[in-house]
Amino acid sequence: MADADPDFLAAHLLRGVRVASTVIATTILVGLALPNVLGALDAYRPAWLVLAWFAVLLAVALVDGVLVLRRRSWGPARWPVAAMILAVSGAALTAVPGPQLVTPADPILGTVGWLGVLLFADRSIRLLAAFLACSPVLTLVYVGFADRLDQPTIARLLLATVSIGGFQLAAGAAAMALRRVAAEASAAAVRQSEIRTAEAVAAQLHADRDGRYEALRDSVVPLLTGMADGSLRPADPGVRQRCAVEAARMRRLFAEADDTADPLGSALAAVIDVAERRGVVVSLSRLGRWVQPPGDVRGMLVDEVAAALLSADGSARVTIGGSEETVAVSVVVERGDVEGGIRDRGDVHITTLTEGDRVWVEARWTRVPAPVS
Amino acid sequence: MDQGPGTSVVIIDDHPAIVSGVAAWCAAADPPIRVVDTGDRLAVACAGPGRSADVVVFDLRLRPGPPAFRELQQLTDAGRRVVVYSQHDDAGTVLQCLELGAATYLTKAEGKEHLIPAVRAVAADRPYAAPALSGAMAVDRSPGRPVLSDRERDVLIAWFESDSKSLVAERLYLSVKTVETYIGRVRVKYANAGRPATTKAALVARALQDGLIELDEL
Repeated sequence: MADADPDFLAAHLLRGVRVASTVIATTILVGLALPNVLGALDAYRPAWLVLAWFAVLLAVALVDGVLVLRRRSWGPARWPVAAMILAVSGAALTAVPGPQLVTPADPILGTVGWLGVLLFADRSIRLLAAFLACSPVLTLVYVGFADRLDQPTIARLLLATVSIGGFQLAAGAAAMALRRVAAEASAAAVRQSEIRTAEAVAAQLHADRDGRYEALRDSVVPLLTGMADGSLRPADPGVRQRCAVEAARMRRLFAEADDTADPLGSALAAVIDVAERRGVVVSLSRLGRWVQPPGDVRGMLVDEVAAALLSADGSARVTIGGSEETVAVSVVVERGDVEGGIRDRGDVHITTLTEGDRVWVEARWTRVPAPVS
Repeated sequence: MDQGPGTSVVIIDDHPAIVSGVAAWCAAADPPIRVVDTGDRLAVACAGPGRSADVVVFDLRLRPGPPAFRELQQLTDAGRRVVVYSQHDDAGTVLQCLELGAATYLTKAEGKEHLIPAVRAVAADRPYAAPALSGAMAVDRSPGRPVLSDRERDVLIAWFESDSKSLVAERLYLSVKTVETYIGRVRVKYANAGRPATTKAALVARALQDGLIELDEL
């Protein structure tokens, strides 16, 4: 849960908005602009300029549809695309004869803005507003050049800008509001899932601890009662072995109580646990505070101890100790089956000594590799 | 000082099982060590037969709660040779006991191997440092600690890890005798540091006498 994509909810919600925007833009293009263009085709000088304009806008709407299907955003490509739309729109305006400007036969003013909604609704409302303003400004400039700045034209321009632009701006604002809500919902969902994870971890830790104490009760209590009522004799080597195993487990349990920030110590404890189940009596001693090695090094250190410990028979002594720069794990086993020698595995320096049946393995890792001595 | 042949001890521990275990080791030792008194209070070492014991085997946790440092200090102030025998194995507690003048420190896990040799060494004012104590001295970072050479620290760490002087000797290409000398010398350095105590002075005097250290090293 911890690696859940925080944008998942936002992406899910915004996809609906994008699908709607794309459908609106395509519908306006095909259902509104196209009939107007075709109806006034004879009036345009030249007609192909307006048809090209329409083709470019339709192409942008289609590409947007593909992006929506693929769950991708325009990204930085939005800038050249926006510039291209404005350029072809400006060019197409010159093909519209003066009397037709800002009438149904002039589809440019009312249509361009919808493409802006497609391009900028996932960015900011200011960008969108700026883009929406471009189309009336272009028209105004061209109307001025065409010397048609008469009252009815200005009135139509204002009316069209406010009504159509307001529509487009509202659609963009709705998308952005939804995006903010979605982001907040995502963050809340992540927070909730983090809390759930923390709770699950705490419950698991508690259960583990309970389980360990349970296991102790199951094994220690019968042993103690047996010795108290005389059914188990301390002189019996078997009973003594059991006592030693239980004592080692209890000591380790006490040592584990404060090791939550010590993954190396925990990993070592787990290996010791396995060895104890095989009947090896393990004593664990800790010395000082040690630097925590990276995960792969930790695995190597524990592996070396495990190899010796799990080949052992009888009793074993495990130590872990170090400083700010170094950490060493060591195990001495009786009747172990390990070859002697000195070797290096990566940054881990391993020394193995044998003396009769006794084997001593030390694996040491130093943060900055020490000069060879 | 001797009330009879051999070494005598008094055992202060609140666990009857520990007391009988230590007593059994003492009885089985060759030559045997006499246990003159046992109990769970300091009084057994200060009055009665316990007063004359050569060595006090002292549990640092006489009752639930913090370690019994005050009682330890009372014993060392009275010039008693104390073997602290405790389940604590953290370096801080171990070093605190040395500072208070304990002759040596054994964890309960070390008792079987080290208690009898420790009692004998301590009775003769000779240094004794089992693995836990050696490790604590090696990682000591407190101000005013004795200066240890790298070699001394290597020996202490190896001794802490292996609990075998012959393995330490093999690892560091030394003789067992030299390993013992290194460990003993560090212990004496500690006796010569920090707050003075008669037990520490006795340890240093004996080390000089034995030639373990030279006067100009102090």
